[in-house]
Amino acid sequence: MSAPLLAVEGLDVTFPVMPRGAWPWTRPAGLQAVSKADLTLERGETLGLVGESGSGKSTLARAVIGTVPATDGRVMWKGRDITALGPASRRKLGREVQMVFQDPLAALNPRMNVGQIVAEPLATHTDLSAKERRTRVSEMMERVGLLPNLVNRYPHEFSGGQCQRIGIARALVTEPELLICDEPVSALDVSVQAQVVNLLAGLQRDMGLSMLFIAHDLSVVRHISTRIAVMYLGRIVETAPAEALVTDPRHPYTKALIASVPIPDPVRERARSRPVLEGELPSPLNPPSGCVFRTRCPIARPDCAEARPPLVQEVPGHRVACPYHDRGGPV
Amino acid sequence: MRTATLTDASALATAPKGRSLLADARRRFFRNRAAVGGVVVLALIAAFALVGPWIAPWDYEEIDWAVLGSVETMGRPSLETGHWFGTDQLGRDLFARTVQGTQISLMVGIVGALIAVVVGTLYGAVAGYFGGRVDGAMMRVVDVLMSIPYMFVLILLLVVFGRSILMLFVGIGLISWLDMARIARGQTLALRGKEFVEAAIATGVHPFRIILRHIVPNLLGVIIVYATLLVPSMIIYESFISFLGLGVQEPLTSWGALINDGAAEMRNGTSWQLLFPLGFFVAGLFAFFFIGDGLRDALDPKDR
Ligand SMILES: Nc1ncnc2c1ncn2[C@@H]1O[C@H](COP(=O)(O)OP(=O)(O)OP(=O)(O)O)[C@@H](O)[C@H]1O
Ligand code: SF4
Ligand SMILES: [Mg+2]
Repeated sequence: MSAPLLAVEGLDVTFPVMPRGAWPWTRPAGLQAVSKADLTLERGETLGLVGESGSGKSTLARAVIGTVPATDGRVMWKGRDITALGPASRRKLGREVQMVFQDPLAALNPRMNVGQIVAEPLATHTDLSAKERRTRVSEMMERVGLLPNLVNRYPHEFSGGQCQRIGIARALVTEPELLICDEPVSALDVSVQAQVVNLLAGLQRDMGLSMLFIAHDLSVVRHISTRIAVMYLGRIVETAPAEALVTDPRHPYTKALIASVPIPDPVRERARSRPVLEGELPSPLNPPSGCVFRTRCPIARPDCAEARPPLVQEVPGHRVACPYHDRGGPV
Repeated sequence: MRTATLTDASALATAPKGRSLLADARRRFFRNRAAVGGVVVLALIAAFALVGPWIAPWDYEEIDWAVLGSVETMGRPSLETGHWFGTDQLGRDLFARTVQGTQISLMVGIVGALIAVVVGTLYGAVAGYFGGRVDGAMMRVVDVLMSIPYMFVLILLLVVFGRSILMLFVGIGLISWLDMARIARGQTLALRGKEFVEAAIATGVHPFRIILRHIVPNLLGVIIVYATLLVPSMIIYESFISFLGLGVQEPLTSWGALINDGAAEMRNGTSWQLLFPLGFFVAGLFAFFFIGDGLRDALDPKDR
């Protein structure tokens, strides 16, 4: 069996943060944005990564593309540990792994026109002549649904949806193998969201892309993912095939997430019971001991404060980080 | 779905020519009366400095012996004698000398500001982009250099390497890049967190290319504004040094040197010796100030 395309193994990302008003010589506190995360992504697969705001999804993605350093653990790309690479070989990976960002306009340099923006990865990784680059850029723009004669325009002249298309064109112009989409539609109008998601799904099919698709709720992710991982306060709490995760959620947090997705039918919507999550996301500076979800968990028990529950495979392909989820209510 | 996306893009297709932010800024700049006035005044001053030597009837170092000794009466501004701006205390033609001083002052200002801006921007952008220990070390150097009184350094340079205009440029430029470096670093730190820079890093663009293509162009607004405001302060520095007798050497002169000469003779009833150079000095500084102000408004993307 060959190594998976991407494997994240025990990844930790800790940011040093200074408490407010601290003396310059105090040791900075560690903010654990990602803690012992394990993920694998096979070729051609779309892995959805879901969690509320601040759960560390973007940080995990950044650790994969190398814009934040991993504090511990490894990121394996085709079986090779890329966290240990030197800067030059690390840069070469930009051709194979690309990212689409959350804020479409902020991800485009305001001083470059669209042609220059989309051509940049080509200029970085290929020896194509300027003319060949222009051809490739026009092709790519057409594929993402932009007219190629817009190459002389600047980002501020476009709508959010169009900016996101430009970002997608830039990410795909070197034909990468993995595309990381960090909440690519959450900043867009609802009417445009579906267009962009469909575009991504279509491009993935046509180009044989693998995708890591990040979102803060399940409604977008469930349609285009083959598998879904749920993240809470820097920890991965459940991973399963998309279908299984939605129909048979096991972790109490996943159950709450699914309950928060509205059902289109208003009668059933009103009739169902909704275990709404109470309380706030705890501070990642001072996470609860043991299971980090216990402060909001409807079935928490005293043992939950003892040790961090490991991510255990219960059914092939379905892993859950809660030993008590099938034991009913609190004891 | 494909068709839907194409129609939504074709809405923009009517005007395929792109308007860059700079093109927009240019349009906004030329709508600003004060700034355009500044440009006109500056152009006139520059024309005066360039064309002046060709039309002046006297040379800037030539002494009019007929005037010497009775400058208060004979040296008055007059069309007949050809001393349009009068003469200085030594009987030299003030028009020619003002032309010469304008050349020097503009040159010192512009070249000094240019050195400061280029050195300071690159230094600050590199420090801010790499951050961490590189940043710490580079900015400590700036702090140390800043703590040395600039006049002391400049005087030392002029004494050690001899007085020359080149030394003056180098000296003033080398001191004043420090502020620019701090400004550029601060802005770079902010830019570094932007997603388009992150996208470039993730793409694998070389750091120096990121600095030149992504950081510096986005500093341009700040740089241009700072540079136009730096020119007058360079001119003022130069005047100050001339006052200490370390600036331009006689018979060369500058606005600052002329003003000081004129001010020294003010009580002798030769006010033109002060007023002409002072007029140019003030007009020049105001022009730069208005241009800088106009540029700042034009380049500020917030009130587009
Ligand atoms: N550079 C940084 N320095 C310090 N803390 C950071 C940094 N980046 C992120 N964090 C913190 O790490 C935690 C996780 O942030 P992250 O951006 O990964 O969340 P997210 O799941 O992507 O949220 P969102 O849905 O809002 O994008 C947050 O508490 C955030 O404040
Ligand atoms: S381990 Fe305990 S607190 Fe955590 S999810 Fe399971 S029951 Fe809830
Ligand atoms: Mg995020």
